[in-house]
Amino acid sequence: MRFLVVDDSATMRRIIVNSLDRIGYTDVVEADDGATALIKFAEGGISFIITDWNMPQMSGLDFARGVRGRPDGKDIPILMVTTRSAREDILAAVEAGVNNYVLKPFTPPVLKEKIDAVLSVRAAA
Amino acid sequence: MRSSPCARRPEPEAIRPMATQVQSHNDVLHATDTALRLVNQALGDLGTSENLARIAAPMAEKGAEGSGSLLSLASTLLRAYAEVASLLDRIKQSRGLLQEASDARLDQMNKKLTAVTSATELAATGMLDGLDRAIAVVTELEQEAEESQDLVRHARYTALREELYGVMTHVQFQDITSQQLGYAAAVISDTERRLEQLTNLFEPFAADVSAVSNGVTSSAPKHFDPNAVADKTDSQAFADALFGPR
Repeated sequence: MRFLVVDDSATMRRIIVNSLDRIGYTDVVEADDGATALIKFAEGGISFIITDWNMPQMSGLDFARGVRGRPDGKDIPILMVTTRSAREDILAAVEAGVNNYVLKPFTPPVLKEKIDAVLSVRAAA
Repeated sequence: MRSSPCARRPEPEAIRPMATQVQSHNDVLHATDTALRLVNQALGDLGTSENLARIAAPMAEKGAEGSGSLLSLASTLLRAYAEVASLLDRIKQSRGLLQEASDARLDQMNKKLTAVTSATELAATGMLDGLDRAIAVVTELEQEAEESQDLVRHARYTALREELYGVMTHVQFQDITSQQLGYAAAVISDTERRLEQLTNLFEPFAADVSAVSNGVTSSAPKHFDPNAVADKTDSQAFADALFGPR
């Protein structure tokens, strides 16, 4: 399973990639903003997206909307990992088509739990 | 000869003082209007109280030659000149201070915040590099302990590796901190712009006051969360309830 990790912070990308490695996912593609991530997604082969919200050029929310607007992006799992904790933000993420939401700082077990939850819902559908 | 009914009759004695009074008020109003126009012109031409005093002195002399009420008016206007001149001087001083704060201090503060963000990013990268190396060493030791079937050491290395991963997780503070610093920097930039607009109001012919309160928009890209904090248990619970199995 290939992951696309989108975050403008190199530190955060590294922590997410390390966390994924710890829970058994080693195939990861990285992008530092939504616009670059859309290009990487269009190249194909991505099975799961983990994205931040606050990024330059294109936010994670706009990126999620962009993915959902593509024929090949309607069913791709999107997990948002962000510091934005306001309820209206979480609701906006739901509306944008995000499948689950993790607040920073997170631990690898929490990340695993959310990934598993998204995948199990997908498998059941 | 009989006078015509339309001819002007002499005014009754009772009316005469009132008319004189009205005439006198009109004169005063006219004089005031003229004086205010002169004030306006003087304020436009001059900036310092010294200049204003120089202009006002001959006027005071003229006033002394006139009636008592006009002299009093001239004296009042002189005081007004002094007040307005003093106010103008203070505004100029304030403008200087605002400009200094806007140009130098806020800009310096913004640069410092950017420097702190870069420093924490650099430190975080260094910590992650060190943790990667430490985890690699511990993993090797763990494998050696496993090969030598030393279960106690193996368990200790495993625990140590988990601790190191835990530290790696805590490095997320850097992202949260940098977002808060980004917000602080944006507030400073916004304040800088507002001060700049405010000082521009003191420039000649600048009168667009609304620009200070309404026209300010941050040109800096806002890719930070102003409410970025570490403890968000309630919000995560809300998200979990929302994204739970459906």
